[in-house]
Amino acid sequence: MTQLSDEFLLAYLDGQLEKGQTAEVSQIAGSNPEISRRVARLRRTQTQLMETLGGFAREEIEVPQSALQFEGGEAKPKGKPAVSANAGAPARKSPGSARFVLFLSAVFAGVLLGGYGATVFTAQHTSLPPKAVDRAPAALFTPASWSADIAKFHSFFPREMLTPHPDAILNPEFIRFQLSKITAKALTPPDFNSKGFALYRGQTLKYNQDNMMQLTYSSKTEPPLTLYVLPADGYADSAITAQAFGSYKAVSWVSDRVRFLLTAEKDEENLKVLAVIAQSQMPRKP
Amino acid sequence: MATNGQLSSLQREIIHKALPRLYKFALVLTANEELARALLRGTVKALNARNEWREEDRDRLTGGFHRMYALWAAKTAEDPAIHRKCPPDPHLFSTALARSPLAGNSHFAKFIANLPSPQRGVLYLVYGEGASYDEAAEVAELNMLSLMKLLARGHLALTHWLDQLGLAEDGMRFELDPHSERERAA
Repeated sequence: MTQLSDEFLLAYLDGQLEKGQTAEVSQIAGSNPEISRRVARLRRTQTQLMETLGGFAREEIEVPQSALQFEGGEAKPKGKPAVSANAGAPARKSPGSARFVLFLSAVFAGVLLGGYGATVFTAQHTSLPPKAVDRAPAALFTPASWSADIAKFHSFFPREMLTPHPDAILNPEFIRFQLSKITAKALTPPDFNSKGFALYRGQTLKYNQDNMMQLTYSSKTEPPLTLYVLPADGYADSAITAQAFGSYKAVSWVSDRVRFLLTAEKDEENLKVLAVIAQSQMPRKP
Repeated sequence: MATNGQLSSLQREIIHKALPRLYKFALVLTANEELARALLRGTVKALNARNEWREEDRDRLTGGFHRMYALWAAKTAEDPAIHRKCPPDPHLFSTALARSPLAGNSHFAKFIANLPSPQRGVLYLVYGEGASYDEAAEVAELNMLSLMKLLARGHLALTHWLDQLGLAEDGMRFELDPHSERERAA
């Protein structure tokens, strides 16, 4: 916990942490001189930025009237603005270039029609295979539940994709920060070190309208273990339930408005043990 | 709702009320008055074309800031040398800094003007506008981690600047976070 990054300490000073995390950092800063010094340094730059940029934000300022010249779509712009609403779009072409484009289009269309005509005369007319109309489109797949849905999603991750990626969050403090943001609770990733699994990666993914945290744990001897954590507004608490998806087994549960799904290439009983460990480390309900 | 090119009274009122804040954000992003005026014009034009306006848009300017940020990002991507033609002007920030207790205001104005514009933009949103990290990330279309890194690097740059001027507290050199130091070296 004393390996706190500047980013995390800054989030603490800027009031972006959950209550529990704020109290924890305050306690560490009070007892650890190195952290305390770094907090003091960041507080100083924070004060400086708030005074200057805040002063600039509060300053009375005269807005140039030229900014209003487009309003209502009646007035025409005087001269070419340096930054227009369609910045990045190609500029209007001159009549000369328009004629050139027209000529190119005519040549292109001629080649295209000529090619099509050739296929009409030379191609052998074979009937196309009948359409499979009775096949259910993938888009219509309806999952039995959120846990089956996520387990199916997880089965698309080959093992090598669960190894560290440049975009992944490797810093445990960031993982905690992001986990707390997603679940709106001061949650800490479960510690499975006693079972030989160490947390090495966290990344934020989207599941329907929710953000979802994917936490991956590695082991020296076993395949990786993945825990999905996402908010559970509208879901009642539920006990650990097991399910299988291909070679993957998964266990899921809902606790205090947070959904969890733990999955690995392990048997059901082992996963349930790990789920109980994770549950025992979650903060107690008030 | 705007119909047939006419602005609704709500839309007109919101845009008028937002103009000073939008103009300041344009000044912060561009650090140049001429570019800021053009950026404000572009943003107002884009906002005028927007159809859906709600009551809560009166106080929440995230959408307006986001359009401005995106326009500026598109412009700088299109013309990376734009600041060579229209260089940053530290005087834009010096009035606000005149009231700041920090010694060497003119130097500080220069420091602010020379920060990379995405960094200046998010620092302003968080410390000037008082936006939350979520709002600033939404405006700048950044994920949370990238936003936090951008903010922390701004603080680090300011610490170095204070160090160089010998303004670090008690004349002591601040110890830097080893992670940030490694990133800088990389």
